[in-house]
Amino acid sequence: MSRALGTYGLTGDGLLMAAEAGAGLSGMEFSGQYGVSHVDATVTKNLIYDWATFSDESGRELDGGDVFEIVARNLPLGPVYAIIDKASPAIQEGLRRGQPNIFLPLDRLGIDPFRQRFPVALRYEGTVRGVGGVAVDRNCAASVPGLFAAGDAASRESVVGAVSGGGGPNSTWAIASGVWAGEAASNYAARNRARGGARPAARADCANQQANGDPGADACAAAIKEVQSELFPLERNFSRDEMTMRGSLSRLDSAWQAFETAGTSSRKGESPHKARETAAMLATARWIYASALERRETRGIHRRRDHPGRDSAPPARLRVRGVERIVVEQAQ
Amino acid sequence: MIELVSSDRCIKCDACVEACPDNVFDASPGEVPIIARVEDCQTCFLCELYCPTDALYVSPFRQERERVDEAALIARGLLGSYRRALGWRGIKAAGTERDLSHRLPEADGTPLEQ
Repeated sequence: MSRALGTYGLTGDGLLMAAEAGAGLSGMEFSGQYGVSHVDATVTKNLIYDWATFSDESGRELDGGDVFEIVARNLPLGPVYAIIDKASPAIQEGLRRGQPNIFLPLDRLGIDPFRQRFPVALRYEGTVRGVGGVAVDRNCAASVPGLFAAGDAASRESVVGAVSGGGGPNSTWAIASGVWAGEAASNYAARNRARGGARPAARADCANQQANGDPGADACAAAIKEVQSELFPLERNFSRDEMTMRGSLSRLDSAWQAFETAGTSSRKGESPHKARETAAMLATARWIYASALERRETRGIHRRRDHPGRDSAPPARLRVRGVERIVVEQAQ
Repeated sequence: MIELVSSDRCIKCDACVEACPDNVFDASPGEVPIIARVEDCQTCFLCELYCPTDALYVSPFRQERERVDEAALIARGLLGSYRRALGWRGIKAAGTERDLSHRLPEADGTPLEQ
């Protein structure tokens, strides 16, 4: 819920459900993903910035590193502006025809991005354009028998590795994984037809709001604020270090405990789905930092100030599991 | 955020209620849908896309409310502008043939194909 498109729908509910059933998640550390947008808008399509020049308040040109690094380094110092002045007329026409929603907010704000510079912001995109999700095999099966995941609920580590799959890879993955997961799930169901009916879950490490009742809108709002203040700041999550992450994780663990025990509010039942979304966001934030602490290198969209280089050992994947107690281990 | 459901244009089909991923509208039998939870609007413009009569306007501002004037929006050609830009035909998705994004890397300096 960072004002970036998609971050209101993808709150990690699928991840929480899977983790409660005992499934492992992968790629959660590849989540230092932010999108560039106009400061007032929500569209974070980054394609146009391939042809952008960035500048500060005084008009001084900013460079050094990729688009995201330029903006992330300079935003803490003051406003950052972009102008799409390197796009030829053919590129401009191609962008307008192919990506109309890039221009939708800009046109309505009366900004011609090819001729006028406009102030930009970085919006956190979490696991929407980050990599992490339920670890799945070739059939989109999770590590718990009978559980399948697709799209943004599934890890995209096998597809894009350590970098964002925003745009093409994530869209094609959504379609392909949906087909594979659906096919595998129906085959699984057919094979197990004899057992029929309801089967007891192997494990129920559930976020226990059911037991305590709906924590209510105020507790949700407070918990979401907590998650945002640990995940949005560039100095915490765009680039990371051990001390800062340990602080965030410990505060998020406390927030999780507090939310779990928030109990029955006077506004009980007002919005049960919001309570569930909030729990999922709290859990996701904890999985992100628990995994990021264990990857002591910089790789893709996991940037460590205290480990700026790549680990020389062969690349390893991390699995994170657990809801109350979180465990991170190297995947086999 | 969503700022306008035009009661002149709305045909009460509730397509926007269905299209909204954030449950912003409340349908009301025989009435124009109500913008019930504007603060939940993520400014995704989907409702506009699915409106068959171009009765909706989503302001580009996510945080601040914008006071809008329907006549002025119509004069600026903004009602239905997203659908037209995408090339939708009515409420049917269309226009992907106009998308030449895959040719952008080669397009610099050369005119795009029609």
